[in-house]
Amino acid sequence: MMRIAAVGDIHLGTDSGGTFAPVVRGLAGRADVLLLAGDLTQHGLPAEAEVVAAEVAGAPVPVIAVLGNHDYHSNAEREITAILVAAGVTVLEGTGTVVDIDGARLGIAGVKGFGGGFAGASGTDFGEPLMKAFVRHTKEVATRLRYALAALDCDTRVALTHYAPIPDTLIGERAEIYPFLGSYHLAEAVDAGGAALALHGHAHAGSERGSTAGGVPVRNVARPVIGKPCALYAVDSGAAGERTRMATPSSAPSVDLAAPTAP
Amino acid sequence: MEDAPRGLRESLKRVAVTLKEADIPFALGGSYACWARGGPEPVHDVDFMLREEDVPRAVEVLAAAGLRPVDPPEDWLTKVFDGEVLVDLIHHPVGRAVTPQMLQRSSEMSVDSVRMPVMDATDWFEMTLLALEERYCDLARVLPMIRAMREQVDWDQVRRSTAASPFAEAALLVAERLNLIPPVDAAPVAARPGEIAASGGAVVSSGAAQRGGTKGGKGGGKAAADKHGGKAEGSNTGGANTGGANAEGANAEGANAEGANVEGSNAEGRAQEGIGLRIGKETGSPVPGEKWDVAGPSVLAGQPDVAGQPDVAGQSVLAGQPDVAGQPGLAGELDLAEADEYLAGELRERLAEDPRVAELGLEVVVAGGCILVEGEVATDVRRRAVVDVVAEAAPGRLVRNEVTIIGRVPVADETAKVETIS
Ligand SMILES: [Fe+2]
Ligand SMILES: [Fe+2]
Repeated sequence: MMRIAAVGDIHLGTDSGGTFAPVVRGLAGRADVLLLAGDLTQHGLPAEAEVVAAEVAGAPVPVIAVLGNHDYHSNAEREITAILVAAGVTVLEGTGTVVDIDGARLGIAGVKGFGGGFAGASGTDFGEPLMKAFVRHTKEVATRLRYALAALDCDTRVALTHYAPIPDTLIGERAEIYPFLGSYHLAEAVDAGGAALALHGHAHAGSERGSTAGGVPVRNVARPVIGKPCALYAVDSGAAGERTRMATPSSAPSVDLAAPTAP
Repeated sequence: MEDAPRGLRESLKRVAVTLKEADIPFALGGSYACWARGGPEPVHDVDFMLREEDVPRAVEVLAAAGLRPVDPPEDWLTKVFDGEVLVDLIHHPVGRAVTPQMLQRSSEMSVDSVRMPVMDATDWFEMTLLALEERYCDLARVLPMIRAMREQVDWDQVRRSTAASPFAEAALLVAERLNLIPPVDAAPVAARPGEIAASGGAVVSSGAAQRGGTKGGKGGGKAAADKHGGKAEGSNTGGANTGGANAEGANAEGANAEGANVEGSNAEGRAQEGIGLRIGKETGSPVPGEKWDVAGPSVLAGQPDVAGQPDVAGQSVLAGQPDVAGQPGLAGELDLAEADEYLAGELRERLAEDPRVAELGLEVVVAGGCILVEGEVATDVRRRAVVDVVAEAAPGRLVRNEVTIIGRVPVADETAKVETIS
């Protein structure tokens, strides 16, 4: 069993020092890895990222994160990434990492993701340049997630995003804003990439549990949703292997997808 | 048991078609009505609602159609068997007669491709919640139904008609706290700005007057209980608005008896705490005195020390005060003449964009000139900043800050719960 601790939307500000460190320390012996599903800061300020870095610096387990929209708010996402990396955090954006857990390899691929909506009620790549850019950005990040998942050499794959891949975990949010909370393209990537579990945040008023059309469990780990400092999931590497085969009709990405360009 | 739903649905359709052909007015009720409206599919239980006078004829035509009537000891329903499947014909659910009006309110829906009248969602919840009692109050069953049907329901109506039931109140409170259903409508209270201003003055004037306000709050709480049938809205500032509000509350609903019932226990108890807050919002808030704040120098004139008291200062709106203008993030006043809806939208954006708050998930309601902000933020500083941001954008408005702080739970308690993904 691989034990995954996960939380998103901790939204630390410069006044939040000391609030998250006890949570991280408390994971010793309880989890094998800590995944952070974005919105680590409140305003995307480097000073806030320093607070996050200090809180997780002494983590007893590997810490792997994606950024959220808040972390982009001050156009300082690169600097924030660098600050977190310096504190030992693996920050994913269209990339993956593999953690060895007692000989079993847990692979995590992550992107921030983006909005766009869900099948039947989504934006389309049509019309004004801004609209097209919006939808294309979603498709692009979804494609990057798919490739990052597929590229993982591991026993079990986990997809980590900030935006939601499915609407089920948004229940509780107003339906009108679903297109700003996630995109079904992310779920397509989760299914095609053979993930055993998908974790996201962003929808503070959503629900914890759902699954993709391909049957991959999805958990919304936004802090207000889980109602506790972090959620813990135990993933059986054997069962995940079966799921991987099930959920991957074609292990190679289909031909109509352009290979992702470097971000 | 595996194919029970299929058998149930066949029986359901048979009974519905038989009643329709005999021109007997009815509505699909019970958990299948919920299913028809998007809820979970039941595994036992097919319920139809009929007027009592129509029941004998219904039994007759169903018997003629091959169903087997049984005469149960209960006096509020009768039963027919279709093979193994039991169908309830209910004429007095939760002690109330099925009326022609109720049947008229039901909507024609396609249920497993047979069109039939399905009980109105608001009526349905009134009954379901009133059926909760001490031995049967499993909210785990009720909440999924609320989730499934919530936008089809007039929740204020449900609140009024179930106000006498503590179990219903609990269910609605949980649903509200989970943001499944809208909060009690604050508008009726907000529409009396004169009274609020008066009471606001009483509350803010001094520590002693806070006490006084507390006493007055009893009356305020009661009034709210009348008005809302016991779900004490408590938007009253605990001030001197008893008389008018009481009268208005008494006139507003025909549910006085219920309201009075509740008033003796819950509402008064709450008001005695001097909170004047809807109880559902109290828990997360570290400041017990949350209340409507009145923007305006008249209220604050005699209160030079207010700013020094963290509890009060964080809440009080100093809209238009010169010192506010120097604060960061000030983006100017909004056009207050525009429709409430737009103002709410713009305030919501302000709260998201202003660095002092920067919270995208806050709800803003503007009604009757008053602004209500709800939601969760991570720190108390941000919670207090909500009022500043709103006051700068909309000076002179009453602001009620119901924002709470996301709870912090010790990690050791909670991480013990591990979900196994397989
Ligand atoms: Fe967030
Ligand atoms: Fe977010």
